[in-house]
Amino acid sequence: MPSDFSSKLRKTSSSLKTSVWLLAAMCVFFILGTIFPQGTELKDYMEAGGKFVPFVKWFNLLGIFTSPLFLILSGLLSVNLLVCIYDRWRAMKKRPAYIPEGQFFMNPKVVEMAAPEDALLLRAKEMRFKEKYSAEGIHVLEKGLPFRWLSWIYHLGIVVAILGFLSTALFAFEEEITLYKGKPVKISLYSPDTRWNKFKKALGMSPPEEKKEKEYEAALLAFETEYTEALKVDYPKEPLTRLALGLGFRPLMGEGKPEVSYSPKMWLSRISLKTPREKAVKGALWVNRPYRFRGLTLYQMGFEQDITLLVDGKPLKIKSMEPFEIKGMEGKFITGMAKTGKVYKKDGMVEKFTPFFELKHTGKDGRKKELGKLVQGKPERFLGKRFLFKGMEEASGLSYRIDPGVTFISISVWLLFAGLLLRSLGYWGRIQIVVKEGKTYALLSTRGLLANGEKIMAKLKGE
Amino acid sequence: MTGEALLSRDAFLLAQELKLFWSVAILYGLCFLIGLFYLLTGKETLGRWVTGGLWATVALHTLLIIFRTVEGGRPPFQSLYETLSWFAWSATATYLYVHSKWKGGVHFPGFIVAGISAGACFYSLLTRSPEITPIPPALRSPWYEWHVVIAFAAYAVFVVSFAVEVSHLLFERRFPWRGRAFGFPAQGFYRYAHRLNLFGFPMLAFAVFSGAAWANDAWGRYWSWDPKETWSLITWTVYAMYLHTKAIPTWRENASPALNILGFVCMVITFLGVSWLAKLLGIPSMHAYAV
Repeated sequence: MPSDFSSKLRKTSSSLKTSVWLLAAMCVFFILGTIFPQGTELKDYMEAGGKFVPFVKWFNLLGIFTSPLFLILSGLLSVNLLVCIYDRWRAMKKRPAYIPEGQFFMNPKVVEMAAPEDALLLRAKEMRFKEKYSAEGIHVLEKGLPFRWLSWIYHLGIVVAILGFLSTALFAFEEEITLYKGKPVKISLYSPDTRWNKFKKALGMSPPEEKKEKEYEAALLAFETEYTEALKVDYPKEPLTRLALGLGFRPLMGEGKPEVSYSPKMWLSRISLKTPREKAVKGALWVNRPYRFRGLTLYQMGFEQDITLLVDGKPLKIKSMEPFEIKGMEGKFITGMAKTGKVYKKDGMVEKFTPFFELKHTGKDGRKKELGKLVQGKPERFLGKRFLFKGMEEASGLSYRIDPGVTFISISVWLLFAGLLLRSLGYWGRIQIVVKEGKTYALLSTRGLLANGEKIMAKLKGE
Repeated sequence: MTGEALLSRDAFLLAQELKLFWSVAILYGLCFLIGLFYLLTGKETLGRWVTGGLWATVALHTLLIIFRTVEGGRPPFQSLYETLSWFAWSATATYLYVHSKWKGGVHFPGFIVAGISAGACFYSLLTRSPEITPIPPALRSPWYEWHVVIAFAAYAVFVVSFAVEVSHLLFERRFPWRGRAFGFPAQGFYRYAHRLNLFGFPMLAFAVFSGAAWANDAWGRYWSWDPKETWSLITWTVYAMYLHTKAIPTWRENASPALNILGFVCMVITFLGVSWLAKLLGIPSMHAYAV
């Protein structure tokens, strides 16, 4: 029967069991997404020795969070949520003012009270319960936060979050730029590569044209780095040595001067931004402190260091922390991060570094060796050659992103968090008092961690 | 004081702190061992020793946390070395608070909590470096303290909930005849697993949201499907499933306990396993500073 089928479908899609199964299925996808490297090309996966190629290909496991299966599942979860929200809303509207007598006496929590009806009402009111319904022989009193509405609100929050995710998936885009001094870069607040524009193209529709007024020109004025000096600890690796150290049988530090390490404190970019019609504005940004200007937000992601090295007088351009080879020398070399800028010392002094970096060598046999420190302008001999750190240029790695989903997510966060917190902690209590055949019965329902049912019942009993 | 003298002072303080941390770890280990004897013999005195031992250890551990905070001049939960210690302290302190609310002589969950705390402390001491590094740029955010403190408060609550669930399953359901020696059935004891999860769930939600808000400020992307983020979502989803099954009468008995234990396992993976997973599978993680 179609009506039977539709009512079954409705019942299934609004059931809690369906929600649990759907959430479990989502978890399986989430887990797969942390096992298979997301965003990797299948070719790279195969080259890295990936063993489940057909499985990965079939289920799109390298892009699982945009795979059709995941999207279908998310859609089903959204439908389940929407149906639940609608059903709960209808149920709340139609909720009877009291539990009918038949159902009331079937509840095992119903307690026969020694006190008469009036005394119970008085005690409940003393506890600030308010009368919601009153008829002959039946009284309903309530107190606290409306937990059903709170529960409804945070479920609505999840729906808004899903809308936000969808909006991000369709319309968001981000770009990364590397800014060198004197080399401005164009930034556009429009991308033809959003999923929505790609979808439009696939349908044969033309995406909207790029607008000139939405274009900026960014230039790097200065890039600054700061470091903090700290104690360097050469902590032993062997567990027994560590135990001996912890029990005081061995000293933590060896003899001589304590060594220091320099940890990054701040990477800061001073930039200028210009629109085609306006004068340039200046601003600064650093990690966790983006720079916002008229719909554009720039984030400090990292930096690059281009180093000029002279090896036996021959110039060599390298990047810090990237392996490189030197003609006529075996193995590979790599530098540490070149330290430049300010250093905040232990004694409170602030000094400027003479730029330097540590140089390491990996031989053909794979043996690693720390060659030593190279200070700018100070030659050193390593492996029989003369090395000179001649100079360096720093570039700032920035990103910018346009994401309309953030607004939805911000709203959903408030709905979800406030709803969840108040629903979990908030006090809600309901007392139904029924008088039957001269005896008084009470049923207490509570929700929220702050509602202590035992205490309320004890007070109601006059204990 | 000269810079060199200050560095020597730091080295001295760090050596003292290490001794204190080892003492704390050994004390947790002793509590766990006493708990093991308690499990084998069922003598209530041993159970009381476990609880008393945990009180003494957590007092010493509080000193250690204060010591590290003063020494580093910043909150003591930056590296994994520190967060493991913070995790053990918050789990034990939460357990002792909850234990003080129970009626009767139930001490068994303390044995589980002592084991977890001892494991966390020894793992920290044996595998991580105690070096105090200044706060890196990635962690210099107003979200940092809130995000970490609330996430670990949620973890602590879930540890205790797990201990309550396991105790209930063992002594109130699987081996009830053995339970009498351990103070079971204890009136209202099992309610605490649900109540704790009800309390921990919004906190975990806050940890996930604040992480997303922080990521939006730092990287311009509130969600990157980074392994740490994804596992925190998995943990949140599993506890959401747990709370839903609590509202289904036919699933309350078996599915809820299973999900509570699974939630704990997911929480451990979020905290520690993700880093192993990322290393093992070569997946880059944006939360590398937490390793």
